[in-house]
Amino acid sequence: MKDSFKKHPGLMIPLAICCLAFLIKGVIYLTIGSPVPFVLSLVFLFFMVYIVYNQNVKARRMIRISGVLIALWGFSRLALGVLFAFVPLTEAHIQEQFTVLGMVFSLVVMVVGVYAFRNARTYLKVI
Amino acid sequence: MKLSYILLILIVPIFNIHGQQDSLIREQQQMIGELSGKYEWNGKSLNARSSSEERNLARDYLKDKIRSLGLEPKEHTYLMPNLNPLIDLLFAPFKGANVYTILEATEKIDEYIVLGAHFDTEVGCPGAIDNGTGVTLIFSVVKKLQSLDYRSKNIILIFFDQEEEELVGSQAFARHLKKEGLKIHSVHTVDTIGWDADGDGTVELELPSAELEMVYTQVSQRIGQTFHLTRVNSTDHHSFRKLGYPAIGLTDEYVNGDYAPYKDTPQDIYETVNFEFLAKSTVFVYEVIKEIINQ
Repeated sequence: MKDSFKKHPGLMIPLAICCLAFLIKGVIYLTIGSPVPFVLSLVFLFFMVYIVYNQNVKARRMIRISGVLIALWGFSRLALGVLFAFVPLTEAHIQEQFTVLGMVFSLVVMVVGVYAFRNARTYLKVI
Repeated sequence: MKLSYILLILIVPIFNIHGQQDSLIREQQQMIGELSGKYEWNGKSLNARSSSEERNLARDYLKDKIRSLGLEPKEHTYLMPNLNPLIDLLFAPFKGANVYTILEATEKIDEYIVLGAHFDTEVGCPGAIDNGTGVTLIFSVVKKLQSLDYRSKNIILIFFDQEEEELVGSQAFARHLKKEGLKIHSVHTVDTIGWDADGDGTVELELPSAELEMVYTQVSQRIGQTFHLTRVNSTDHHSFRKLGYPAIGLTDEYVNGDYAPYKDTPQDIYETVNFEFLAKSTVFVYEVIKEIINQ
């Protein structure tokens, strides 16, 4: 486990932070009666645990899938943010999530996803 | 001499009724003026009640108004999921707070009547009619109910948050009532009641339960109030009906076409409110609630 983080900090730490963030979001939604985000965050957590303890082709594939999903999440929010800049929203709840800070956060998450996808192969090579 | 006395006895109550009506209108003008940003409150202006910051200020205002009745304001905070799990994945949950108080019955009883109206508006809208009028109406009703010597039921006066965003505040409060297991006699919500272009004073009653329809009909016949029944379920009363509570919504003639044309626009301002109509509707709701708590 330590090896994974020690040898690939640039890949594993951002992935772990994303996983933790999605898990927290999932737990919050679970407590208010919406289980889907929690179930998906558990899938992500399973991927992370597998990746940390296994250095094989499956682990590499899981990094790629995680990367794609994270990048899609960030991209979707960025795209919606751009869309809502042209089509004004009437609902403050959504509008308030597209602040400059929110957009920067989405961009960072998208970059993490793309980076994880592109560097998945190095994970297998080095270890 | 005798004739003078008789005239005096007849005239004084008429002046008194008109005086009460004028006083009610003045109070409601002040409150809607403050709610819609025409008048400042504590050096601040509530131009809209949509963003978190604006709604926080509106909550402070409403709590202050509740304190002015000598009642204790409470906040019911909540987190609620979005309409669709896919949206949940992308966005944060709804976060808000309803403001409420309880006017206790004059005898020990565990039954409640809920009197509610939403205080939020759409983005950039002053919301004088939608729903400054509803907020003001129920506030005035509770103020009048306070002066009664006898009330057989507790009254929950509640201002809902985030009605404009999928009725989130009222849904959260309905769930809260269910969880607390409170015995609810009925739920009455008021939304957008300040427009009466044809001057007929008619209101619309939305989806009343059989018992509530009977009470509203009896009272309307007694005081000469006209109404239409409609099946509109797009406002707060629906949140309670879904959980099995007897509920009714009151509004201007939304289905009949005589309703605020500036609803959900920046033109929904103080100057468009028909205060006579609002005062008349206030008396109607007051008489209905009085009828119920006298039963």
